[in-house]
Amino acid sequence: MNPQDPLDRLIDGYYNASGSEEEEARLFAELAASEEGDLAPPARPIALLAALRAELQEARVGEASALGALDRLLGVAPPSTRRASSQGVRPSRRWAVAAVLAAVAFAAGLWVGRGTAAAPDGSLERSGQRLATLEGEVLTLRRSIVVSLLGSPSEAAQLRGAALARDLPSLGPAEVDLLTEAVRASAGVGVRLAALETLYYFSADAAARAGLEGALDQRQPALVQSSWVDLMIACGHPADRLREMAKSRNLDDSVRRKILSLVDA
Amino acid sequence: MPELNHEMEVPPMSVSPYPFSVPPLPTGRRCWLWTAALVSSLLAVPTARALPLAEAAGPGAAEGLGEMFVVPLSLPDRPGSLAVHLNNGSIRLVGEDRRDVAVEMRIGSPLGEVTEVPAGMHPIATYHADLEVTEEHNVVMLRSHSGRELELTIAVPSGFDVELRIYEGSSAGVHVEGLDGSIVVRSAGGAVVLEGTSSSVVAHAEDGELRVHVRRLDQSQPLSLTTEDGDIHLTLPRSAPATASIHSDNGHVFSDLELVPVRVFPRPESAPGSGQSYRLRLEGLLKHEINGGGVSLVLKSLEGDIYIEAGAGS
Repeated sequence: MNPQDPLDRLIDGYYNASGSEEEEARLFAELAASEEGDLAPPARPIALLAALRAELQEARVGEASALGALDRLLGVAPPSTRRASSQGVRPSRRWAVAAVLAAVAFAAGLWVGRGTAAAPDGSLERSGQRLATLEGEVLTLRRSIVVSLLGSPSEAAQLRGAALARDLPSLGPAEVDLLTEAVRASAGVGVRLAALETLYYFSADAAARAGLEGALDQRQPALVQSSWVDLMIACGHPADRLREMAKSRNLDDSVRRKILSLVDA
Repeated sequence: MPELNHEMEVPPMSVSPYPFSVPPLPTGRRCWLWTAALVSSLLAVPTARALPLAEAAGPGAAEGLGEMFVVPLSLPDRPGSLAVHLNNGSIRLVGEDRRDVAVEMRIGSPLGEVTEVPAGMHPIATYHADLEVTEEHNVVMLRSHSGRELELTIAVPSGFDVELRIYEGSSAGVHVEGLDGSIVVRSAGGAVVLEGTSSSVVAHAEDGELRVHVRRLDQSQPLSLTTEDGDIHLTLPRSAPATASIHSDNGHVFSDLELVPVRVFPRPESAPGSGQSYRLRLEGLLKHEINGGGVSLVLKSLEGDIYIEAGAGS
């Protein structure tokens, strides 16, 4: 993960809900500028989001300025601006202006809304489809991020990938393989523990459960073995199989004692 | 292959000498490698530095000859990373506002482990060790294959990601401060102390305690702190939200923060109501939420106690 990369920072903001709108807008602009005309598949939903965000912000700006003008005319602008804008405008005049504006708005509404009920153009349906497509692409993006992090040689990235995987609705084969590989081969004890917990979290899925159960096929640090025992007991691993596992030569003596004391308790 | 200046004597390690005044060694633009064969042979070392055994037992014993050098970066304005792999020794690392990597290297125990001294003689300090240094695209690697105990003091740009590994025990361990990048530490012995972290931490201490002070808890950067025998001391900003997985097989857990236990059950493959039934067991994994829950923390030990304290920060 490169902390300078606008895509990474956007993703951080997304997962943390921490980024301000200004910061997001700036990052979107930066991303659009850097990837214009050459969007990699994971960046496409981001670009779509960027376009939607820009449309929304334009709409907000227009809405805010119109409402602000109305507020200033009516003298109900926020305290910081009210004093200057309402000076010299008498209440009776404000109400008169408000009445005229309301009448204009009513007429405009009738004009804009004419024929809508009679001839639906399917725009709502299209928006729904577009939203569903977008959601699917965002999920694909999240899966890509998890796979990318788990496949990274950096332990910090692997740890992050194992944590983010818990936010996915389910694990795919690629995520299960990478988590199982992290449990078996990551250089970091903490990464192995985090990957174990993620597999446990999805252990209702047969593949994740198999990855969890197979984690002690080879020699593991005692701390990982101990946590594995806790998780297997937490997800109801049969006591007979745990007892059988206690005979494994790969097992640390203290963990063997722990298994026997727990299953025979 | 440039040679290091073997004649230079460095000040004691306990005082941070940065910024260094030593000029950087000449290097290639993109990638360079030199093996710092610090063969300050026995004869080349001034006889005045030969330390008697009695002195070796005292504080002065660790003050052997050393080297300082600066590793220039290929891309000084871009992020980078440092990896240090030592067979034996200790690492003190400081993050600073700088655009290169400065290293001070010293022999930890110039006398080695002397078990028997012949009558009428005393042991003579030797100063040979090796440190392989590489830099490529801002990835700096320091690696020692020597069994000698090396003490490294390193200054890096504060945004660097670092990975520090010590494969054999040392009482000095690892000390890191002033770093904003991610930290990965694995130490076979000695304490691991990380001061003022603000990014991801994956730290494992096999035989010593682990102390981590978090200055800012980034909600996208999980922490994992594990030990086998030592205690874990974690200081978090008082209001920082986190969800912690905490467990010690034979130790206890203490905190002055409010930790709310929650059970994490295996997630069903699909939503209930689709005709399948699910058995949720009460023995779900227990986690603790701090300030309503947030970024993932893993705190686990086999034998040590775990302390979670509130500190300043955000």
